[in-house]
Amino acid sequence: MRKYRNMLAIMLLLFAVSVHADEPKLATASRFVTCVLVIETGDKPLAAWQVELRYDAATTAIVGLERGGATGYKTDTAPRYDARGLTAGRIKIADFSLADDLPAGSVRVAVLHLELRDGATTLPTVHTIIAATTDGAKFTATATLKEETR
Amino acid sequence: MTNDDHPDIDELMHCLDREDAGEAAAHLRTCAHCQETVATMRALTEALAPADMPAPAWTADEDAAMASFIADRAAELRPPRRGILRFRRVAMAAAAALVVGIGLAAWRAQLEPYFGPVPSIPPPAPTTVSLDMDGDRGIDIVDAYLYARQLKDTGTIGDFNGDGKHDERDVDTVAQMAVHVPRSGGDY
Repeated sequence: MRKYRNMLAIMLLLFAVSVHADEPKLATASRFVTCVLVIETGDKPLAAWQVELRYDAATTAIVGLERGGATGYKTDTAPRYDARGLTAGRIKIADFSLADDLPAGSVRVAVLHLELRDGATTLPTVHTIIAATTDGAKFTATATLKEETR
Repeated sequence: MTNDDHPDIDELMHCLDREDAGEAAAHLRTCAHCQETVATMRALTEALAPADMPAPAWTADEDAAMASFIADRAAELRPPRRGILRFRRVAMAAAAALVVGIGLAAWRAQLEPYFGPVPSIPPPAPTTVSLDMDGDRGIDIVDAYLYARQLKDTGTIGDFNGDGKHDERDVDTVAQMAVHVPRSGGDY
């Protein structure tokens, strides 16, 4: 009798293990962060800019993109981007302005909302940057993406 | 018999043709009036009977006239026949075009597994103007900016999107090309 009881216990244990193995992995908690894209132009007015960001598409997704509120740029629409870039691992963000009062110095050009999964902490990195002044001449500038703290 | 006891003319002629001895024939043998009627009918019949005519001899002019007549009749009959033929020709041409079209489609479908999609004839480009306005061998946001300035300063720009208009949508087209992300692999 005890022999059958042990066999039954082993079968139940195996069944429980197999059921647990079939369960889908629960997604780990995501973390949503807001980042600000800033371009340093020096003293040159920023008439046009374009930044390419690269990130790990397996752990990161861009869930929101909006303007940074720089002077002279429109405020009612987002910068130009390809929606495919929101989850493709790389994205180009760009904009230009024909206004007379263009910003210079440290220009806040865009705000990105990111979803970081599986404990990821790495933010997208700036791969390339293009900056041009009013006559269309390109100049050397730097871009940084920083998490915005509230 | 008629009302005055004489057989009518049909009965008299009928009994003569069959030569039977019926009542009308008996009456005819004794009635001078009917005998006169029959004699008159025989004379009329012989007078109206067609005489033996020789076969007509066609002269050359008559032959030519007949040939002309036949040609004219043929010409009169030709239009409806031509209409039918035209319909047949159109139907045959349509059928041939359909067969050729199906053949070409089948040919393309057979070639695709071996050579990839058979390229179609590309539509003519809406414009021959290069989008690389600053000449740096690439299309970026600066090109879109320069086109926007050109549109603002001169009021005109290339029709880059092919919609027949020269407006801000063409600038948008260049800007979208600048930020385009390819579907898979490859560089920008």
